Amino acid sequence: MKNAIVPTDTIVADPPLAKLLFSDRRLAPIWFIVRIYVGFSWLDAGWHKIIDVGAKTNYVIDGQGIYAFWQRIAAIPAAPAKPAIGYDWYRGYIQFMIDNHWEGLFGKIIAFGETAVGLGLILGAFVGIAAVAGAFMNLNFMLAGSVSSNPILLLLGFLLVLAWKTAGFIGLDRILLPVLGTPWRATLAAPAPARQISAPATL
Amino acid sequence: MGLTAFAAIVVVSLAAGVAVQIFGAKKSPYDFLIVGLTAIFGATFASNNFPGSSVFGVFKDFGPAVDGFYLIPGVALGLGMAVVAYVGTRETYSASRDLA
Repeated sequence: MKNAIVPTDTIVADPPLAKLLFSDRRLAPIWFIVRIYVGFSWLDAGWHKIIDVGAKTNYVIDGQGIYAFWQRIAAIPAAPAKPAIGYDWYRGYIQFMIDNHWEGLFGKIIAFGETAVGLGLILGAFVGIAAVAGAFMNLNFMLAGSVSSNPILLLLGFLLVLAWKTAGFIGLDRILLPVLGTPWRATLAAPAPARQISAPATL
Repeated sequence: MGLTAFAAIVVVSLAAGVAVQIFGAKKSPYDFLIVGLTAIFGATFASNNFPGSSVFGVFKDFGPAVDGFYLIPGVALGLGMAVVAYVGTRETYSASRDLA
């Protein structure tokens, strides 16, 4: 049998629709709108926690706000009422933080984290990373039994993660990503040469 | 915000988009959509979300409102987003090459 040509390319190409939605710079204005919506939601939530200095509601002084929230969601009400947290392992995690008084640290992480995610998305700086961080917080809030706007923000966060290459094109990522050597650097990769493999002589 | 105000936002934003499509420099085929949609979103979003938000908590008065539409934040963000999107997409339709 003649030598068989086996391609060495192991990258599965995206279908045209996925390319259009998540890799095409022409859709950057759509992602710009999504970024502003999601980013302002995070910025508003985070800034609200930063400026709150109430003795029982603050997040950044001693974390009493998040401590009260943890106590409320970790409580198991009398039947037939159901607890706020649906998974025992997550309730155990929250109870562990309550017992070890991690509210001071986590209050600051949540307040400044939400604000940073909001600023990153609005400015278009490291959109993929900001969206992942935001989606992770949405996931935790939903595991804690809080629905509110979290499902929509989580869905939009997933979409921003998928579109990370172009979502920040109208924003600082247009400068930051090429500096880091990511998609908009104008280097065209040469196609990998196909490798020739000899077929066994017995076939 | 009332339906009348929203309809006015849509009409004005799309009219601005069409004007940019006709008179703008370095045109792209979709300037009317880029300008129109971002302006509609920006105006509506700012009017609905800026008043009462913690981010703009220092502002006690957001100015005049027409049919529930706050003119100052609405026009400011609508215009700002449209300009940013317009400027940011000037090179999008230049001779392109596949970087994949």
